[in-house]
Amino acid sequence: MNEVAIDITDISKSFGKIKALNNVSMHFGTGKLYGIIGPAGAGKTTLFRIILGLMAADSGKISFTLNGKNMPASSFREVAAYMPQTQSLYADLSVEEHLEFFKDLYGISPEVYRRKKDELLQMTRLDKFLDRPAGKLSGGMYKKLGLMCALLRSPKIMLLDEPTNGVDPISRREFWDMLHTSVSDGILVLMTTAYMDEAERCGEVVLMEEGNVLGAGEPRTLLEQEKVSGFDEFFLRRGGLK
Amino acid sequence: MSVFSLRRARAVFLKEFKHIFRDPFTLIMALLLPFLIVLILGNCIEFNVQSIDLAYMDHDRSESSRKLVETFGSSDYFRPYLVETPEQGFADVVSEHAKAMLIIPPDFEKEFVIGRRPDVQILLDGADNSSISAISNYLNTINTDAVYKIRDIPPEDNSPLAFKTRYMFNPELNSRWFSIPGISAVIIALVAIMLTTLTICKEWEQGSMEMLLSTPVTSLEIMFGKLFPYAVLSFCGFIIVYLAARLIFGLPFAGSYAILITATLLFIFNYLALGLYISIISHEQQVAVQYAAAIGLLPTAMLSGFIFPIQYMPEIFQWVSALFPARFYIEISRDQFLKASSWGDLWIPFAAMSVQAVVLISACLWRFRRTLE
Repeated sequence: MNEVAIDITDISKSFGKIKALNNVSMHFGTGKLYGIIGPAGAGKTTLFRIILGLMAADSGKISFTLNGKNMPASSFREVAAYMPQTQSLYADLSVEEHLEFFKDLYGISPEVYRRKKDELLQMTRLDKFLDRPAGKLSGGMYKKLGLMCALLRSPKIMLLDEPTNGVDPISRREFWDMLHTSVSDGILVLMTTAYMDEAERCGEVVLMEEGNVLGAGEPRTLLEQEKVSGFDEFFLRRGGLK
Repeated sequence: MSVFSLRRARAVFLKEFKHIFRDPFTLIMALLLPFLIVLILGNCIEFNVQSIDLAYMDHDRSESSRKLVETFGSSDYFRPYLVETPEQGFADVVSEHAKAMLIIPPDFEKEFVIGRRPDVQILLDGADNSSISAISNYLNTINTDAVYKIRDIPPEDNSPLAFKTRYMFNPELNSRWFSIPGISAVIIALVAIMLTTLTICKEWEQGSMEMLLSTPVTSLEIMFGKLFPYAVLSFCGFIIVYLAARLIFGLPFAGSYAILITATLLFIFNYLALGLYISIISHEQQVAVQYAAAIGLLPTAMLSGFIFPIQYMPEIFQWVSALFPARFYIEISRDQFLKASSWGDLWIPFAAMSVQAVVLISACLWRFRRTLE
């Protein structure tokens, strides 16, 4: 079993005068689905970009461990898959062409690819749409294709930035089922969401607002501590206090 | 993790080719546009002036005056026609029915016979700058010819000195032979700078670059995979120009294919690097197009000697033109079509383009970081 963990200590990042992340620290370990919850502008995307090395932090430290051993950031990239928030697939390439493209980028062997492709198509039920260009997929199918491209490389860590944003309720439920399958396969999943109802479905949540961590832990425990019935109430009350 | 994986570079390259073949705009821009540009520029850039309509007014109506008009008519350059009044001829020049007007005074023959120099007036349309110098040149020749014709003596007999001019490399002084070899520079600028800039910026704008950068693919593989298809397209543009030059416009090709193709590949490399640099500094298609036009297309057309000869530019612009590879490429291209100089004769333009390539690639490597900042 591969035990992957990410430790983030006192990370800060500013864009001009705006402090996107303000001394945040958090810990992520294998076998769980972490939800990073917060309204727009909380610093969720910036956090992901820094974890992936797409941006450098102004200060602070991130360390990755694999089976208890330290892992350099470059090897971390080898085991991580990322699904950005923006529509990042190619509108004119079909579902199959996307899979072929990422197969080559990730250097997957033909046998593994064939097995993985069938497995993923079955899971996402996109097998009937292999020839359809990504630009002509519905919102839910588009996100599923993004997830397929990420899962194709059999990652140990998956970072999903608002994966259910703009997806219809039924596709959202299907998407969540797929995420839970990935977690039970031993993948560490980090996802951001602005949907408060989704927070309760995560194994652990990190609550963020304006670059600060407000709280972290199991959703139910957190709610009891704060004496609120849901996370929307939590954020609304904070807004009311200001 | 390997530094350069052929498989990953090939994946990016194949993906890019799919984009190109599915987007009619790119294909038209890359293949049809070059063909249209050669046809249009090849037919329109014409510095040879022929069949100039010449209104004439003959007050003398003598044998000599008739011979003078005949001299004008017997050259291919002028088509004289008679007008009844000076006003009518003047009106024709104003309305551009005639480019010039010739007025022969009443005692033209008499003055000629007694050995004076009769004044013949020529009115030229000075608003049309492009044909004026050509017409003035013809007038000198016609002046000499007319004198012989009126005196009825064969030319050259009483002249102590005779220049026999032969134009080397382009015996008929065909201006198309001069302009067409430069067109491939403009087309490569269009394809290599414009299209590569657009395709890389699109990747940033769509957010797919963020996805790509999170995969194991290296920046070198992305650059190679994205630029190579446009190198191929640019080279196709060059072949289109070459074939049009030879088959449609009948240009000779005196030089060596090795020299011309090496120069073309070096030039394409330069412009791909320039397109890459523009997309690195702008990241947005709209901004990139403006940069591409300002530092790519305009100097290629204006400061490369393609339209305006470099040796007649003010000195400062001659130096500015040396900053752009197009000047050197056009120099080699013209030379190879018409003159066929050797590698040794052309070392300066080759060296200049090589230096430019090194500078551009260094600039790209310096600015490109594998991050989103």
